[in-house]
Amino acid sequence: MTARFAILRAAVVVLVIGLAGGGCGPRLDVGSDVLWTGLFEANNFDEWIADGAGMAQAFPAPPALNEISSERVHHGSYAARLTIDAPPGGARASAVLTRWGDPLPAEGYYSVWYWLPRSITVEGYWVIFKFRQQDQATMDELYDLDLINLPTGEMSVQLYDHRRGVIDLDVPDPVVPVGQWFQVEAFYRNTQDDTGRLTFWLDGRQIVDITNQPMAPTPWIEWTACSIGQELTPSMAVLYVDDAAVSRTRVGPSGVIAD
Amino acid sequence: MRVVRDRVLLSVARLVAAATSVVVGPGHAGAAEPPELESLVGGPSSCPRPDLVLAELATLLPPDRLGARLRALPGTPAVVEMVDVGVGFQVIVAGRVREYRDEARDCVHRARVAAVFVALTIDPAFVAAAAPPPPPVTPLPPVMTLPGPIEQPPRARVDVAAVVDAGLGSADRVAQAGAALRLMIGRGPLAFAAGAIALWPVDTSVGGVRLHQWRLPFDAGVRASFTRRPFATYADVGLCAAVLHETALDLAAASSRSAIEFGARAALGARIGRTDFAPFAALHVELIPYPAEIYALPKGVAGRTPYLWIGASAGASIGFLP
Repeated sequence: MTARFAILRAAVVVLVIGLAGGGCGPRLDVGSDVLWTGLFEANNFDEWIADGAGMAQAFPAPPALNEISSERVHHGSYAARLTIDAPPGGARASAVLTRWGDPLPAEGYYSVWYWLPRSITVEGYWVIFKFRQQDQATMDELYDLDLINLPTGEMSVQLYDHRRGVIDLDVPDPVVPVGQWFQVEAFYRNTQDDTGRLTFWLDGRQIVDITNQPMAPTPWIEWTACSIGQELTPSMAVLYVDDAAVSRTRVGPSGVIAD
Repeated sequence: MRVVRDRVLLSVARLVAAATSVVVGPGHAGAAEPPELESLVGGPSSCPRPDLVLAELATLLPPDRLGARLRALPGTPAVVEMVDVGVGFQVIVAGRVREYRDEARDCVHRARVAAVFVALTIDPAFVAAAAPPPPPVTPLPPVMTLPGPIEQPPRARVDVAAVVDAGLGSADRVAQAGAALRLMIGRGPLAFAAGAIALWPVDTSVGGVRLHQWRLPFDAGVRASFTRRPFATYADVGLCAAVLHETALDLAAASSRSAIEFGARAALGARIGRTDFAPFAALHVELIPYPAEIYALPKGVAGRTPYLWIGASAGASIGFLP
């Protein structure tokens, strides 16, 4: 009997130690659906331009400027600071970070984080996120996501289709926060038949979903995180950009695009 | 009749004890008192009673041989013990155990059987020499039939079975089939048990991440046996571990990873019969308190593999090492 109790006692002790000692299970990193990232952690724009399928450009420069900054970062040590000067009555100013061509999937998610230091009065337009196409009828423009002003003085977004004009959002007047990071994410399925789709989320909240219609006339895609403005007050507008990603599954506000 | 016979046997026992003390007594004056015969045959049994066994012994061996042989047995009195186990009884002679089955509980018959075993054990030469020669013409029908000893279970068993396992938890429910092999060592109510299951790989999903999953659980613990007829029922409890191999199926950059999960396992089963080859069926459950995290970009931690596995097995139990 003593031996039996000893076996039982040992089994219970081992069981308790085994169950209590674990703490957390092992992590199995089984891969990634992230196709491309723009993290700026190398303190340059190589992620955007090194493979020849992108561009980091500001015009007119100066005063327009694309630069790496550590003043505001979403993750890591660096972000991009996009500066334009677009006074009322003046010409368009632009600071763009662009990806195009084969690296972009026919169907994918495009995510980027922004920091808006202050409210800007937009008398013309201010584009921060674009999809372009190859169609001379629209000068290759397709969809723009613009920053606009609300009567309350807050800032919001507007979707502009260069073929049809302003598109009503499913969520009217979503507020864009000032002085904190916010995420814009889009799902873009560029098909030439009626299976095309474009969906936007602002900080994880779906604001518009365009379905069942053709998108660009060709499979070619150009995507831009940018600050393109005309007639802004104050004219000098700064926008921080960080943690851009193209992926096959949605990133969302809590997503992880790099280890 | 039985009462009368009991009294007769008791009287014989007392006579044997008295005669033995007479034979032994004078030569040992001044020395330590030899133990009484009644103290040498004991035990908690009420069927057969030790005194009846002693009386039956007295009919098989002469008093002086009986006393001398019993006292020569190693150990402290009682050197012969009777244990009543209900449908049978055990005779223990100086640590040597023999178990007999007697569902009728005929206590006199039991005493007689026990006495024969004791006599054969302590003085086999005399019993053999005293056996009467066979009748010359017509063999007499046997007066007493000794029941065979109760069949001892084997010291070890191997269970081979087909298994189905279902995982429950944050992951999609997943069912896997495979084959199991278990080894049990020990014939008592508690035995060591260890086993492994080879589960056929399946496709599953954790937090939206599709995976090809291969799992090899193994465990070690204790098996507690309960009833033995008509089904040998048992319960297993112990620790388990599982080798887990996951391969992403749909990710843009997919890879394979392996890990070991730890937990506890319990099972309930029943085996039909106690033969060396018996069918069995069992239900088991594995609790994995900290299952593996499935990590994939851009989700991060997509979820965990199941923390609870419930399964069933059926197959054959093979006994060996009698």
